[in-house]
Amino acid sequence: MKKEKIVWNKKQQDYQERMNKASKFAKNGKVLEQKDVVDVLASVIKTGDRVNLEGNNQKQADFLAACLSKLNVNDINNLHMVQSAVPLPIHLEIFEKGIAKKLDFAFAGPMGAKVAEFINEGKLELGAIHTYLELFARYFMDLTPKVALVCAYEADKDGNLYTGFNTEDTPVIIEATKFTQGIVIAQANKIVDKVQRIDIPGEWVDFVVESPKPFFLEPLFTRDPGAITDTQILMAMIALKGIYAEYNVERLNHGLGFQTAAIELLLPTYGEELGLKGKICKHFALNPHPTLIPAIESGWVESVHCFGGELGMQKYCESRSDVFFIGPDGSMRSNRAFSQTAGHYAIDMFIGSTLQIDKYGNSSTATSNRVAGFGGAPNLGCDAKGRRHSTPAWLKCGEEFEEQATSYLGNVPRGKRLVVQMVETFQEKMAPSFVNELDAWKLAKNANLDLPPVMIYSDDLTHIVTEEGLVYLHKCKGLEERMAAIQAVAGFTEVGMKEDPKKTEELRKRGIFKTPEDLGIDRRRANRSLLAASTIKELVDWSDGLYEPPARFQNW
Amino acid sequence: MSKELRTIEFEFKSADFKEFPKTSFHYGVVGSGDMELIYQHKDLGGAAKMTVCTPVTGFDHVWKMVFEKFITTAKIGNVLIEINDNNATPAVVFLRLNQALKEALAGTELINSNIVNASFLELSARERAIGLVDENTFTELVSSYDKMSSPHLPLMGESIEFDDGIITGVGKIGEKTVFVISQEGKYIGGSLGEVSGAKFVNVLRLARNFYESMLAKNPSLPESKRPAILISFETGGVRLHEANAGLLAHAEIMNELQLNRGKVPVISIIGSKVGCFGGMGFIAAATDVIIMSEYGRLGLTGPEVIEQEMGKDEFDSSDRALVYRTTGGKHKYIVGDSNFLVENTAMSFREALKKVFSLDINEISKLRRVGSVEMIEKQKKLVKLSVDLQPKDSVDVWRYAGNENPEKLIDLNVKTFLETAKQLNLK
Repeated sequence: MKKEKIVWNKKQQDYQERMNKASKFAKNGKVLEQKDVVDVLASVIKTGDRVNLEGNNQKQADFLAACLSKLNVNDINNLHMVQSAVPLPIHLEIFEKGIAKKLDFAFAGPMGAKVAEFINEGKLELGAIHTYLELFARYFMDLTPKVALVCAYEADKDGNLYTGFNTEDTPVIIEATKFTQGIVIAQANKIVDKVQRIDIPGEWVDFVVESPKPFFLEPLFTRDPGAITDTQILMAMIALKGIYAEYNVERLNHGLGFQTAAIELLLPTYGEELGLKGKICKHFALNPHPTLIPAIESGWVESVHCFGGELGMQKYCESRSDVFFIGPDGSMRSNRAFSQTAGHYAIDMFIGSTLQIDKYGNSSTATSNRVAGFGGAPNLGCDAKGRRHSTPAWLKCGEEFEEQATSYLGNVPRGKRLVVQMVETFQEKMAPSFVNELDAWKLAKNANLDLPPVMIYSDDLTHIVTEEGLVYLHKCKGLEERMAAIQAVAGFTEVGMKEDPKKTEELRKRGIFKTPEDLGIDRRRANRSLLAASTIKELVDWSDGLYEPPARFQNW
Repeated sequence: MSKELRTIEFEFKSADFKEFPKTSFHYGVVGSGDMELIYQHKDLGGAAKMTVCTPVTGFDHVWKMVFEKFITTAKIGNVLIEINDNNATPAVVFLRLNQALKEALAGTELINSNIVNASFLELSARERAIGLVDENTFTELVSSYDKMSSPHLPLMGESIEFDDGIITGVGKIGEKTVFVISQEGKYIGGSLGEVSGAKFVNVLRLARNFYESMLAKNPSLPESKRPAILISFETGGVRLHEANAGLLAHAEIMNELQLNRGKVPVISIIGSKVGCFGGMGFIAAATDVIIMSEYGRLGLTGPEVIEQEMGKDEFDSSDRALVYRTTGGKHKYIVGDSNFLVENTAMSFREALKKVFSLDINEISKLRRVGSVEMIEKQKKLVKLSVDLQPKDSVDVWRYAGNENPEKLIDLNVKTFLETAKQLNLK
């Protein structure tokens, strides 16, 4: 058979063509002037390209986003944006102007309502909503970017980047782009002679530009201890006694709400009193939560690997190199891909809060008109099916799950991740946390989604903590019993009102439902004096002045 | 549509119940999303009765269920539970009912020794009143059990509190009789209304009458036994809902402060969350002594109003650190508005109080900010300085006062700050 002559380096040729048009703008090595960036983008981007605009959970390539929005829509349009997060108004402006058309993403946060609106109006064609890890996976499969616009703390004229404390998604984006002959442009807070540490080798970067001001960084993970309520403290006590102590949870991730902040601040007080130090909370996949400082300072925590950085925590993390992941230069490096992998495979427990839980135990943060996205929670709040190593907590939970597992596995033992949701039965403005049907269904209809966005599915969920107490869902037999257990902790919501007191009593006898009293918790102690720190200033004091909270959190 | 405050009632009898002891017990603060309650023994043929005064409509059936569930699990009878609610969720209601019942059955009282070393910032008005005087010496006057709440708020659909947000009473510090006024910031921002204003004014009056009758009996009564007045401020100023009454109270308080001068020293304690603002800032400024913690804040016009009137360049109200820094205890100490800067505990405030009480009334008068020609001259210099210096931040003033690295002072702990910081000296 005659073999056809095929060109095998079309991507390289394309890269060269694009670079030929753009390289003239770089006069000092790879450094661009701010005023030339729009022209450079116009030279390297073509209509219909798949473009990654670095928008992470925290840091944002905001200057490059602004430049992208200034492209002439007649010349360049229908871009396919692939990016972790779309939390800034400028991200949506690019769609508003018609420069971009399609979006594949993981998290929209404050722009959730706009995303839904744009989908409805046809201004935005939705590819899919992912988890972070899932989206990263697709960068190496079918969503490889042609052009990546990223951000760094420092860059030099050779293109070397220092991404440092807030490295987050940068390595994964650049690796996917550069190794398929794509183009990488970085905005840096500062162009320097020599970068503090080479996080990305210069060879992988085509252009760098100093941004007019440092990239936008959102302190997403700072919870002011001053706002923690007595009810949250009660629930934290329930979780510590009924779950952490019961299972000896050593490796874990905490969600970002006040519920888990309360747990962190109870470790050096209530946790110490329960004799749990050295037994629980030793290893975290976690952003540097300021509320974890007292526990770290009291010697509870052996290691913390971080998805991203947190504004104000840099100096503290660097000074605790036994705990955080610190480079030879002395500064931390976060990495969302690795931390999510750790959180998926190597934790015993995920514990976090949500907006709604339905009568079956499925939970969602979606409201009927906001496409908030998933972020990282589903990869943490699930049972990792590929996990094969064992830990005591994982084994114990697996044994208790036996009743349900045997119907598939026969007599073969298997462990299970603890997946815990903590919610007050009513949230702000008396919005019920337990509902018959998730608002996610309405959203799916409003935004034409294939399926309602569920953050944590019921088959992964093992425990629910509310102010009413704690249920061990994985110990239930069948769906009906699970629903009865959910009713038992659902308080006076429409779900809770279906509760059958007799059934609840039976679940209580079998240890599936436990009230604070069953756990030996004195409700009187559920007050703020139990917190290891009750203000941001006390966190600063715990940190020996190393934590530098953003101005908006200062009250002194 | 008018929205009036409503009172709803429920009665329920548990199958087997224990009689509630023959006492009354008050618990809680009517903060936003919270409630207060009084348990009281009442012969109801074994039933429990609950009355709820609430601005919320549409949740009466939920209240009923929470109540019945509570009585069923707590198994108590012959009890009246009176609740003032401000949008508490069922979770909070159930928690407060349980916490209060346990405290009531245990006969727990707020005890000074549990309070004095706790974070002062976190203390309720009642805890502060108790914590500032000697153990077991505080007697509350016109307390929650007297139910003197605002007559105006129910008409506007606003939650009421049995003590109208102010604790008044009398206690001892050593030999000294101390009259105490303590404001609750969680209840409508610690605002001064008709009832709270009347309580405030009458404590000042009571203290002076007490002083005069003591002196009439014994003209050579030593300083150490003469009474004093403490005001623990936590307030945004006059309550807008009943502003005329509040302003009138404000004028009466000013009058009382004048009448007390040279007789009963009035000492301001400022270290609570809301700070001391609006008209109450004037009142604090007109007292004899001001003691602040670093979290205490003192001022007149709120930051948002300054920004609105003078522009963002003058004062950026969204810069929380700037706002707190320019009204906070450290700044007030450096410029001399506050006489003492203390740690964030009732114990530290008490230590400063003991220093004040070691002085005679003439020496105490010298600690005032206003009240003599010299003091007014000094205030005028301060005004001139602010015009000449045009400070953009409190730090500019600290530098002017001779502090070489003023930024370093911001995060210093109180002890080191007091050792390091130089106060403004206006010759």
